[in-house]
Parts: sequence; structure tokens; C-alpha cells
Amino acid sequence: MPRRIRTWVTTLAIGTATAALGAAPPHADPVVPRHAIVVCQSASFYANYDSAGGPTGLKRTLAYGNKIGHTPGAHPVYNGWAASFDFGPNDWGYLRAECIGGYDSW
Amino acid sequence: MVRRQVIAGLLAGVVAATLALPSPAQAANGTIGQRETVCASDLFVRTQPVGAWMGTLYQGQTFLVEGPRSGGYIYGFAYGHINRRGWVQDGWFC
Repeated sequence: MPRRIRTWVTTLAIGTATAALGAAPPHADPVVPRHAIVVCQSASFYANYDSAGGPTGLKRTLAYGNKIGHTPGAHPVYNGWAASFDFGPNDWGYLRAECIGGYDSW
Repeated sequence: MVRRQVIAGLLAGVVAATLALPSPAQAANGTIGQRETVCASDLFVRTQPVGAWMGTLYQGQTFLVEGPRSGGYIYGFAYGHINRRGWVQDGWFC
């Protein structure tokens, strides 16, 4: 490849990488959830907990043994509903606090 | 000659990067006292700046900016399906 074309390709690659970094979505995850599992036979997993009306936006139903994350003392628990991370789909939501167990078992 | 080509190449790269960046006019910092609309597709609400997740606001939902600001985050009341106070990353409002 001629040097001039190489220079252009390199420069455009740097530009594209810069653009990709600048467009990063607004969520870094500073508090890493502690590893746990679902200890209920089934547990509803909701997108949010609405302080005005309880859990809202059912995402899916988790089963016994599903890998989840929650850090007691850091992630909030509202009226028995715990902010949790579902490993696999890798998203946040709320499930019943009593369905979280097996901390650090994986 | 080669140096001129390199400079031209660098300029082209910068222009390409700038064009590919999201337009700053589409999302801005919140104004204290204003109930702002979320422009990001989703925006995490946290217990504190760089803190734990407590909920997600989606595009079109609103956040009453109360302040203060800290470390790129801003405190306020999250409406949507949250309805409680928390911190969101600043700069994602319409």
C-alpha cells in the first residue's frame, strides 16, 4: 500500500475510534454487584420500583440458580424489592430480596 | 510534501470524528429548578454520584433538577416509573 494511502487509512481509523469513544452510552457501572443466585423456584424481575406504586415493567421470570448480583448495603431494597443485576442478559431490575442467596457461591 | 499530506490526513480524521459525534444540541446539562426531559434512550438513576443503580429513566421521561452537582452527576427527583430522588449523569437532557 502506498504511504499516502496508509496515512489516510490510519488517520481515519483514529478518527473513528475517537468518535466511538465520544458516543459511549451514559452508564458506567461503578458499584459492581456481589455475585449471588436466585434461591426461589421462580422470581419476577421488574425494570423499576416505583415509589408511588411498587414494582413496574415485568421483564422476565428468573428461576432457581440463575446468576444475579446485589450488594447489601449499597443497592437499595424498597419494601422487600431489591435492586439487582441479572447476569446473562446483563441488565438491572428488581426482585424479591428473599429470593437472593448463595452470595459469593460462583 | 509528505508532511502536508500527513497534516491533511489528520485534519480529515478530526473532521470525520467530529461529524460522527452525537450533536451537542440534542442533549445538554440540566438547569437547576427545571423539570427536564431525558434525551438518552435510558438514563440510570443512582443512590449517589458514581453510586449504586436504583432505577432507569427512559427517553421522554422527566427529571426535576434540584442540585447540587457532583462529579458529573446531578441530584433531583426522578419521575417516570421511579418517583423518588436520586443522582443521574448530567448532560443527557433535551
